Amino acid sequence: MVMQPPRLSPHGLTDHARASAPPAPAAAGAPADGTGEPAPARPVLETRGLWIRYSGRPAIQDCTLAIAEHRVTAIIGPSGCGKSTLLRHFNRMNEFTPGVTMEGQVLYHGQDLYDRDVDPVEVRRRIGMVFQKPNPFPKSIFQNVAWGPSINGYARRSGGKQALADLVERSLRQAGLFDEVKDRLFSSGLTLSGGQQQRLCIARALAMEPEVILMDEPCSALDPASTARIEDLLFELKERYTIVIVTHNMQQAARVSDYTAFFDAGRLVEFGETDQVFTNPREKKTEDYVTGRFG
Amino acid sequence: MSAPKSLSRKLTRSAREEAVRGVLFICALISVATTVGILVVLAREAAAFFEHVPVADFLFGTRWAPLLEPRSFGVLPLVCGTFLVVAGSSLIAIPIGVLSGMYLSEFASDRVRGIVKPVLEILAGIPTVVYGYFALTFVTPQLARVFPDIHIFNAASASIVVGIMVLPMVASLCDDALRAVPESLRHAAYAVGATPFEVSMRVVFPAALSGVLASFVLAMSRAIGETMAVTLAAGVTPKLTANPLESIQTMTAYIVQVSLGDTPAGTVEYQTIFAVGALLFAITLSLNLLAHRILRRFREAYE
Amino acid sequence: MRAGRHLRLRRRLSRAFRLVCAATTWLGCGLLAVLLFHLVRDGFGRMNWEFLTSYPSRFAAKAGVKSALWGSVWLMGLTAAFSIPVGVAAAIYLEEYARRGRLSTLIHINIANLAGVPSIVFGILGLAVFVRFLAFDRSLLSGSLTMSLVILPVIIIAAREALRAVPDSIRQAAYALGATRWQTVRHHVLPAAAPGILTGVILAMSRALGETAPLIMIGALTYVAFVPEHPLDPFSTLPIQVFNWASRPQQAFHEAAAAGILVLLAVLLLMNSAAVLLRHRTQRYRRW
Repeated sequence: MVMQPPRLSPHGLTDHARASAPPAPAAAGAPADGTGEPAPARPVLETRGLWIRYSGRPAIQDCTLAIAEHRVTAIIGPSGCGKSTLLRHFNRMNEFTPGVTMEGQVLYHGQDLYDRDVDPVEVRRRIGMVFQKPNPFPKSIFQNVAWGPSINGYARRSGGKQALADLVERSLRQAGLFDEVKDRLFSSGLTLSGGQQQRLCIARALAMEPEVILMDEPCSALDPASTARIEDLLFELKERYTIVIVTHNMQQAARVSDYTAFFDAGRLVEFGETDQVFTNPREKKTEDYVTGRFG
Repeated sequence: MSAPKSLSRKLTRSAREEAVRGVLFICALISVATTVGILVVLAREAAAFFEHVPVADFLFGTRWAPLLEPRSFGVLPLVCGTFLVVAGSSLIAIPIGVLSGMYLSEFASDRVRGIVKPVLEILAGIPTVVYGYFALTFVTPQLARVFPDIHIFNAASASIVVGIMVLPMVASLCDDALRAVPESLRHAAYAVGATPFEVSMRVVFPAALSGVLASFVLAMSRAIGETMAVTLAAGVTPKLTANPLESIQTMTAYIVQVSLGDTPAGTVEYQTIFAVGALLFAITLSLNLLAHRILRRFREAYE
Repeated sequence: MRAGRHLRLRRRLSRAFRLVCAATTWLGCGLLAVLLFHLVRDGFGRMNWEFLTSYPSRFAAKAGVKSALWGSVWLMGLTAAFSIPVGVAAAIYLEEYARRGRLSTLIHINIANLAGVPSIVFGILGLAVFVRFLAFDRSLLSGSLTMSLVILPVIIIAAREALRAVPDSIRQAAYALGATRWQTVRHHVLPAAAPGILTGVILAMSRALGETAPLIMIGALTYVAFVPEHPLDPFSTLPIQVFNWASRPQQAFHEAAAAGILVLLAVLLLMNSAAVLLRHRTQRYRRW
């Protein structure tokens, strides 16, 4: 990967990102939303020369990558290649693991997320996360979704309890869960099925009105039907949010994502439009992985 | 896309978080303050005591009479009294405790466990005054039937009730220690044709030995610190004797005795509380540390 | 064959061993039965409403536990007020905030040691610090502060275990939503750990109820003919009253002591049953 820090160009895309991510207006072809007007894909999140080490052992080595706005970017690779570690670095969740050190930068709209003045709490409000195993709070469905906004004073800021209730309904609808739970909003979130719980977790993340949603293998603990529902969701969600999804399921990556990053043993091997990565990979290792020869 | 709102820290939220953390930290320090307090208080008053009474006289003297004339401050009778009670109670608590622990972990069905474990918990939860009362009104009269020359206050009945008090702890800790031995060891032993007795005694018990030993040490430490039962049952006459049928006085009973009286602060009698207390603290602390070291080695073996 | 004969002997030995173990175990249970039977026989006749509502007296027949009972109630209330917030707060700090380091380990060892210190040593501490140095004299305040120090390690250890049992995924979910540590602890971890903490607290309080030695050290009176009205009032407690009666030679006072013990055990039984029920309920409804 390129060693010098890339320069910021006027369009907001770094040189490197431009090299590895085709400029969307020119080569994207038919955009996913089918409006005929290609949305400019600017990087919301970038890493530059990022190294992440666990107690000295490198988990991510010299990664430089740009995540485009309003797109789904998939991160794939064999187990242990550092996918989840990278994902958690985007919302500063690695800080809860002792012994993690980093070099390099993680930028959010050009601002260094790990700058001393930056509050990780603020970061996590803008960059939300859905985990591998659904983890709803042992509270009611309503409270699950409403808690995040309410501790931020949402009700106070936006006009009272009704506004909060509207937000909950909106989030549950966006997550495709509202119709199934509208009659039992106050029963415990733990009474839902696995797939429903995961959609509840998605609704919970959406209620914070984030800009980016990070998903760490969100379907790996679910049955195929629930998986399909969540994949459908992603097509709708990317109109409003930027999504980064880690998955060990290549077919899933091929189905849902616009861009794919392939990692192996902590190194970014290849990054590009999903079609290109899967049908015409540049690197041999990528080809071996996507054709199932290893991993 | 508009520029992101500021990501910098909100001052009020940071201040509140820091304040909460500070309050919680202070609460955690209170436990440290307690230990420091104990050490300081004991050290200061004991130091004042040792200005009047030489340390050697205290530690090795054989006559304890701080309140009567002629005064003497040899602590050995109290230590001997404590030791007598501890020895007696260990004789009861250790065998019964270990065998009960073994039964619970190796042989007992879940139903039996469901009865015995709560019973042991109840025995452990009964306040010590109750045991003192029991010693005085039941154990001593029963002992008197066997040993007619027994004193009303005697070390034996105190030992017996302290033993009963401590045996749930031994049983419970031994049970835990034995259960921690992996099943695979037992299976291997059964597979070569050993009987349950042989498996227990030759394989499981040695493997759990450090846990079992730690339970003995902790039981002794607990017996040493026992106060109300021995005060009621064993008496207030400090003497150097090996005869459990006589009345004696333990270190803890002495401290209670002085407190029940009116001893003005600053006098040597008042300071004896701290001197004896310091000795008591030192002994129990050493035993507890010893037990934890044994336990730590035992945990390392299985983790 | 030789092996056969040995085998029979070994089997017999094994069966005998099992019998011995069982017998000793049931012996322990039998002791409890004897104890209870004895207590009930001695004290039950003495138990009546007057017993609960009279003050102690020189005349055994008129003696009652009113002042001791109220003293215990006051003491438990004040002790709870001091020890529960401090204990839970300390546990929260140690489990949720403290970085694993030297200071944290030191505090941990310290608490484990304090849990094994004889309670009379806490009485000595209380005597020097609360009664003399802070001049609270032999009051409920001194008694409850001293007793709080006795049970603080117990509460901290129990609360830490309850906090540790809360799955980390809940914390991660809360942090990922942009919650601060205190928001996470206050809204999610603490409520989830609450039943376990409550069980530990109840058990610690029942221990405090039965403790006598530290209170004697700080000067709780053994003969009190009034009900305390103020934290600075002197007081007596139920175990101290029992101790006082048991130390007297007259049989009549022994009966009073037995009755007092029955009252004490009844309260303890209630508290412990509440704790056990709570433990059962939470284990059944725990759904994570």
